Amino acid sequence: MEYVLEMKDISKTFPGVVALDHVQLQVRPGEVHALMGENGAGKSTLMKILMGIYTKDPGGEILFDGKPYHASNPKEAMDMGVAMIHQELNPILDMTVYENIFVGRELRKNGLVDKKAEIEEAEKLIEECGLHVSPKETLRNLTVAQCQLIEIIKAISVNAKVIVMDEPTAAITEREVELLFQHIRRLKEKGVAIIYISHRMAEIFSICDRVSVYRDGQYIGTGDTASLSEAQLIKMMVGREITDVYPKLSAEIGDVMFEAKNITRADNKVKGVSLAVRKGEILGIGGLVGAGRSELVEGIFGMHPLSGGEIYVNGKKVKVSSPQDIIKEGVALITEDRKVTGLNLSGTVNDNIAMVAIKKLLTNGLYNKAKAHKAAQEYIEKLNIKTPSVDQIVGNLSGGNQQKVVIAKWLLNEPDIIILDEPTRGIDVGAKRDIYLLLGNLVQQGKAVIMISSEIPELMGICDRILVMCEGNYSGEVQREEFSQERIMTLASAITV
Amino acid sequence: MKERKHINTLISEYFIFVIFIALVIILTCLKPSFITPGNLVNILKQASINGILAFGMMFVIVAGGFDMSVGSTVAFAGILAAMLGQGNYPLIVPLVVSMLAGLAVGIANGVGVAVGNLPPFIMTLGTMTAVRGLALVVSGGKPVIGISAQYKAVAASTFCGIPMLALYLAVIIVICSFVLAKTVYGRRVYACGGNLLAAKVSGINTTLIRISTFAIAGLLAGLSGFLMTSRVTIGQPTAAESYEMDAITACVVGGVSMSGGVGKPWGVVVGCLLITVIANGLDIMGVSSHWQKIVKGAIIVLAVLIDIKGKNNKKN
Amino acid sequence: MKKFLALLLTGIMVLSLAACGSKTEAPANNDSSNAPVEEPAEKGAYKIALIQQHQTNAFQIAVTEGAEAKAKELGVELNILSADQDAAKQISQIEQCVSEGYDAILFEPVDPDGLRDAAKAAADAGVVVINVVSVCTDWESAGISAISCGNNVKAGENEMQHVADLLGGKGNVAFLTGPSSVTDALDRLEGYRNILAKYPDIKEVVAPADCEWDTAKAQATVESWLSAYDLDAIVCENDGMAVGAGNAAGANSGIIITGVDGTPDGYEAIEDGRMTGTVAQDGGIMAAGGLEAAVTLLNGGTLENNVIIADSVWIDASNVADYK
Repeated sequence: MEYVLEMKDISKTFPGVVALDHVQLQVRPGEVHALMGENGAGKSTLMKILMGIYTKDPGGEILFDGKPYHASNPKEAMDMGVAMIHQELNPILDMTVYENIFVGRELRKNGLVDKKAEIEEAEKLIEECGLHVSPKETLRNLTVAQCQLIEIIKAISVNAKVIVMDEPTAAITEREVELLFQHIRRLKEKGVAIIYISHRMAEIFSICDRVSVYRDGQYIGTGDTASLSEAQLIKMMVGREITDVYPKLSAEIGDVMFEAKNITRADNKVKGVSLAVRKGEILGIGGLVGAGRSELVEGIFGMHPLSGGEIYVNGKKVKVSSPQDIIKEGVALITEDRKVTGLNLSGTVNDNIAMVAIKKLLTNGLYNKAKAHKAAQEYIEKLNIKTPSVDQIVGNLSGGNQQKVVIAKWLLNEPDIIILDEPTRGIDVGAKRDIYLLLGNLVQQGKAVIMISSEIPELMGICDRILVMCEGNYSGEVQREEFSQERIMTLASAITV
Repeated sequence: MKERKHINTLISEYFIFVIFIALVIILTCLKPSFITPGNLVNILKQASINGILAFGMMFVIVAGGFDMSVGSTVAFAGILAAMLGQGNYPLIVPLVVSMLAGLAVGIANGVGVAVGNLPPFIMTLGTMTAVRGLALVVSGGKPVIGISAQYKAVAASTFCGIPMLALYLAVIIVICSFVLAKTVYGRRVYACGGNLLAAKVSGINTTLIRISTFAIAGLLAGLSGFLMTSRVTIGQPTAAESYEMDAITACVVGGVSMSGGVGKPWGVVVGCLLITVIANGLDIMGVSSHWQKIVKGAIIVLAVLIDIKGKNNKKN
Repeated sequence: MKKFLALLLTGIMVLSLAACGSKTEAPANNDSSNAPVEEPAEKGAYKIALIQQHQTNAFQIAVTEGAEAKAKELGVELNILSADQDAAKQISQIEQCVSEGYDAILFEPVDPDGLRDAAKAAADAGVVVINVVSVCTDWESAGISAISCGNNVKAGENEMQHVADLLGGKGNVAFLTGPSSVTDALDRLEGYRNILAKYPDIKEVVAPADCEWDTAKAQATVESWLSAYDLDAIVCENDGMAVGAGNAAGANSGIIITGVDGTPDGYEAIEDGRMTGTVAQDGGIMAAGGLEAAVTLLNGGTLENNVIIADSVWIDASNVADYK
């Protein structure tokens, strides 16, 4: 039998929207099969149908191991041998590692939970995965990356024939990605098929055997990764050619606009880190997840108390005890988790854009709706935000467009120094490119940009200089002409005592 | 560093126990009669009905819910038990009927929340009001008197000097702790409260689990109603006003997180004893009940504050 | 969809109203056209409303029943409403009654101050306004023509006097009270203290406990007290709390336990020795007195005394059988 899983002619219609239009997917045993496509292409919908979360429209069929397959809920899917690692699924933080691994399919003895067996089994699985945590540890005490790995262990331990991984590396570090890949290879050897969803090109080419591409609910095609180039793949996804994934606009670099010296946080998550950024410069901050990058900029921004350090804007010392102090000086911080700290998801595009710079939108001290409308319209055009109108609810926009709304909200305040924390996380190629171009435009206008990112190619593509952090410390800096992946990785994983 | 962190967690985890012991010592010093066997028996008696309610409440809160209706359910079940406990039927009849009545209210709550997707607060606020009305209608607004001596003895009798009420509570504690800690069902209750979506995609029937937690709370409220009537010797439609708040307080003070997924049975036991001891101790000292409310309120806020702090510590 | 829901709701309400109406006893019938008087009143009979604080205890049920019986006797059309302890609700009920053209409104103020304006407005509109059971502050200036009530201070004195006699003028006592925001509770306590002042050897050994009229609360408080204090008498402001105290002390404990109200649960406790006695306040008599006064005034007569006091009666094991 050639295929372990065949999905043929699958359609799914939501009220008013055709999410999938007669698409297909064929997965061979023991292969890693990438699903690619921009957000909204229909990958997640297809996988939700596979897992029994959605019901497909009548017509079309799913064959699993050559036999007709139907799952009406995740449990049935798992029982038949299909498991999934969900992307935006938080683990159960207040439960232990072993409890999380076995949730929903607890090991039993005499009808009761067999805690001992679960702990032993979990220990074995954790070890196989190369993770160093106790099975009895509570997930709340683990890092995001460790939690993600526990999710992966959980899916693997189901003994599935097909495992769907939706952005499994979104929150883990390069080192852990390598561990995951080792594990994926081991699963392949056992004949397990992996359906791999990711926006990261490098991963697709390093781990996947074949790739199926979808666009706007349509099936575009399937090919071997070995015979495809990155450009070809992007063309299939976007529907047009993108020659240059990381556009770098040239800008004139001037004097130091912003400087932070010896920043140390009261909770000791950042220890004596200094940074400076010049006019027209994009400074990247790299490092592993948990290296203290977000903590550094949040400390600078007055969101957490500092026990030491000085901040200078345009050479003038600024005392920062709350975000207002530094916003006044023309600094903006675009936070990492846009859903939690960046956006009011149930508000409109207009509401969100007007949130920070509301003072600019007043007439005689009152909120001027027409003015706000005009400003929002202006930024929608400037940033190429795809929204039917300024009155659209932000929660209904795609991730990339949400991110642009966050950026627009800050730009309206006309900051000179813009700090962005993982601005391209979880958004698709086209939207990423828009954001790179926007950052380029900003520095061309004489602003300074600081950008945190976990994707080293992205940092190397658009930054002038990269500062690397490791375990809360300053680890080193690399100039554009010296950029190399190895160099940055070495600095990021430097072990300090 | 690591050692210190560990001690901090330990203190925050057992802080409520420390408060409890401290309170007992202070009360004993202020009023030695507090620690007499007779009074300790009182505390057990007084803690028992709230304790049973608190354990029902614990299931609901751990699963991520909230139940405002238990006080009304106690009154309603208590009225039914009083009407059927006049000696005409064997005692099992009022017991079973009151528990079934509680169960019915609980299932209604659970279906409203888990199937109807109503916020637990709204759903149970509705049943709280409606069931109180039901209690008034059934009783005609009057207390129901004349329960049999045998029924009165259910709560009033003792076993080796220990009040039976306390023994009933002990049985409930043992059963509930066992179910929560050892069974697959218990594990899934925690999973639902910890992360409903995660539990769902892990193949857990979250709807059923959530309904069942409300059903358990209702069942135990029904039992409490039966015991309440025996204890006060009358069925009153206005009884158990705001008992849900005491049950919630016992849970929260005992470390059950209002956001669900967290809570240990022993914590609820201590939480429940703590609020009983406050009331009892202040009664003994002759402190007015108005002040007792202030103290109780302060302790709730303090306990939750410590709960949150402890969690943040762990995160760091 | 919305229309359908509205229709459905209306349907349900109509059905439930019909269900209420079919019951023989419908004390809380809000529908004014459907007064709960068994025999239809003759045309032109006075239309009178009685608004109770609530209808959720034996005392209040007695008020309802007393009023109904008297209305039948006098041949007036009586509609009984319950304010459910809500002052705002009571105010709108009064306003509603005025606009529906009632001849007289009897009400039991949920709040002694908060209901004054509503009473005044009703009186100004020509309605005869009478307080029953409890009374508005400075009632005469609020346009209230008469009051028919017990006197809580006197009831308290009556209860405490019996306790003092039973104690032989010497012993330790404790009080269980209702919420101190309620005038009834304060007045009864005042009555206790008036008598206590005459007996220097009777000592109040612990501060009064506010048990909010609740049996279970009283029971817990007295259990706690008994392990710390040597009490000879526990004087309670209602029977519900006295029953609780009796449960805590046990039957024939030797401790004198008394209440106020004269409700069935109290009588039961007196019979089996958990309570010593109670001071009965008959809500029915108070309501009937108010109704009589209203009819007299509507007939153009005058009242000999516009303060009608229903005396309280001491009930103990010797005479409880007569009252049950």
